[in-house]
Amino acid sequence: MLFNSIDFMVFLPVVFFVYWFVVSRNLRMQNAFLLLASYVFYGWWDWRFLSLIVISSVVDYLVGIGMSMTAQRLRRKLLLLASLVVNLGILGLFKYFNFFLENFVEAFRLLGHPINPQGLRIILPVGVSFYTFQTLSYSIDVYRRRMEPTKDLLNFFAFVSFFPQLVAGPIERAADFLPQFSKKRTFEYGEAVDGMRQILWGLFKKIVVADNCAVVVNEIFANYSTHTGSTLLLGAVVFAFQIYGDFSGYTDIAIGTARLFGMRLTRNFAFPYFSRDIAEFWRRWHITLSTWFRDYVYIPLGGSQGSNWRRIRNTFIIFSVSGLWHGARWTFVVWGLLNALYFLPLLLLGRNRRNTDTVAEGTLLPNLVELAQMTVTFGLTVLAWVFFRAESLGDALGYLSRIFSGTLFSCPAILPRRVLSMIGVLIVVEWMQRGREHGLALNGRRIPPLVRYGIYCGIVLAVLYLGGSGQPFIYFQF
Amino acid sequence: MRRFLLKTGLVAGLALILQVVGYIGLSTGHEFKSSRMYYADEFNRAFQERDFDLIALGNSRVLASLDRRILEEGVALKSANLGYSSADVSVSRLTLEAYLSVCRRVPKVVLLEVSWFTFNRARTTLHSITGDLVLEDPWLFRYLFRYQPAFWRNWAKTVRERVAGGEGSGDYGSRQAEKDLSRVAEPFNEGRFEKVFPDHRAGVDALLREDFEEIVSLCEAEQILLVMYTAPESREFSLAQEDRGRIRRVLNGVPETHRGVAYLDYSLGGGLYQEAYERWVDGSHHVVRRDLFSRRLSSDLLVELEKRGMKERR
Repeated sequence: MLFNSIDFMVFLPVVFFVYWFVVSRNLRMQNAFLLLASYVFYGWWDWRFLSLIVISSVVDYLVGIGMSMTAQRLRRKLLLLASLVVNLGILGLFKYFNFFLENFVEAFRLLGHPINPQGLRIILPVGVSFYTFQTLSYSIDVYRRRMEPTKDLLNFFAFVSFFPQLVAGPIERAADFLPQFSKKRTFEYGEAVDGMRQILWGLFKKIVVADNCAVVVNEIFANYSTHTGSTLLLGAVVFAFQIYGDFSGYTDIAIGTARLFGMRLTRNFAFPYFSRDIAEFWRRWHITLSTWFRDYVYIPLGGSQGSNWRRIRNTFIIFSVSGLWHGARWTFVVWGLLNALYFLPLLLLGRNRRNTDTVAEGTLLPNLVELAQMTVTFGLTVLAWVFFRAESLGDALGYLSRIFSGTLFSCPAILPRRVLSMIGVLIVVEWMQRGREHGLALNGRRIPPLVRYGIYCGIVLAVLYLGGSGQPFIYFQF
Repeated sequence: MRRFLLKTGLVAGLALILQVVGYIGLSTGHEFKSSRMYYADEFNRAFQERDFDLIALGNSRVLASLDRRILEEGVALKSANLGYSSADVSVSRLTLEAYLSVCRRVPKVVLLEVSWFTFNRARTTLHSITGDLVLEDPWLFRYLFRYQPAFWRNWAKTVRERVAGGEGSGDYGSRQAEKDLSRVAEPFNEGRFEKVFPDHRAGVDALLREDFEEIVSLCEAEQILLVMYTAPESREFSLAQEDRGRIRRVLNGVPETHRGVAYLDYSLGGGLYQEAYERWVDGSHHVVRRDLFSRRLSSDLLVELEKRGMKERR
């Protein structure tokens, strides 16, 4: 079920009412109902793939129980290995099998030994990269003794499948999120109201900004060989806002929805396009994935400790794996590597932790240095996004080479005024709100009710009438 | 909780009120805009005069094959051609329901163009005319869930266009009239066909089949004679259809089970097929000799009406 569908518009109020008015009396009923609602939510897309979630949940639950029953290091290691094999096995089979097979075939062909094995005719289960990482984090944390394993099967299943974040994150850590299923939730007015505001802003970003951007981006990327450099640059910039609106919009809806049910999800985006360098960008973009890779891959590899060679190696590993996580295509790997190249100079010069505060805090506008830093950082991410969006490496290189041709300074052939004005609204609102949690957060600020309700109604009408062509969420495919 | 529900309800209520006010504003004096997809004049005439004896429904095949004036002369029934280019059978259903909800006199005949791809979405869709139909008949909003998300998208598009103003983009009729009827018809393009129907099968979409059956039931309930017809198509196009037999069985089965339905099939293997008709076709399935075909259809329709006692025998 998509957040931007009419199905969800019916599903959410029904689940909300049953949750607070029917099953709110005890914790087990709350969790059982959340589990049921989550399975319905996921099964709406394809009920057969629910079995994968169940397998992943059962295995990690048993691994946790197994670890609690033994102190032997080897046994614990074997149990962790079982969790890794099952979760990464599911991911590998459904997401990467055909990719690696194709590359083997190509390698054999280049070596003069053509082979012709059959690929798998399977579709990628929605959200598989998200929930497998979430359950893996549980097994790893239990193995590292950072948390006690849960003995409550219902709580654990509800934690793995919690519908607001099941298919596209945020990727929650068991240590933070699982305990929330052990406490009976009570309705909190402030949380629910702010959750609704966050949902509304998420819908605006997804439906009004991202879906409208998609139309322009699809046209420009599909016919890049016929467009001028300036049009292609515009296409890449619009794509940067499409993917931001799409994914951060989804996250806002997910977090807001969770708050309606008395649950707190981790922040996943913190206005990344106002970053002053790439290191700051990665602290603000898809935060839960970045921190997952940091804690479970980068730090175990040695992190930024040790020799320069080791730091460079670790940086390249982490960014290329992050790229591959997004999809089984070389374009994603190159996207990751390009970001590694952007990041390395900051790391080696020890300047990667320079910008940890909010840009232009306490002032209305940034100074010229901050503006230049933000522009350069945004420009670098836009160039990298070309690899993310292109169908192949050849297309990406062709696209970039045409951007930097003689036609870069011509007038773009496509000037989507409506889309640009939507992006303008997004930038202005998020700039004003950059110190807050989301685009419509009030944080105690008082706005006259008439203005406030006018804004809410305006956004509702914009979502209903100014939406694009109903694109699926991009991150569902990852 | 009560405060939360009140506030949420207030925002939802305000948004709803704004929409109702907007709907009333837009539907007052509503007119169909001129477009390349349909005869806007026909729709305006139909929904303003509301006293037609015959209405024709379908996609571009009905627009290309049927000249309403010739039909009116031939069968002496006040007729309107409410076809819409690339429209699926759901659009035909919604058009019929909207018309029946406003008409002063229930039509005697509904002429529905059907073909091999009537139950397929590869080249037809729930087109944006549905937004305009909703402005004629608000009761159609009950289909919001049935046709989501296309239904709402069409409605939103209509609202945006109406609010922005501006003219339509030319009438389908004038575009058809510009065609030189004496020119050599384009041959069937197999490449294009395979792009749309890669396995040469149209299949039967469950929702479209339901809508088709709903048209049959609606006509039956209102005692309207439903005449389905398949316009001529090129031989190559007909032969390329792998599941032609299956679709034909569905269509042929309807008059067998419903007395108020007739089926006039001018395509290959159909009861009224003649090889000469294939020369009236351009490309794969669009009739270019609309004048000749409309005369032929009128005369067959007249026979059908006479057979059922709806017209006196000549």
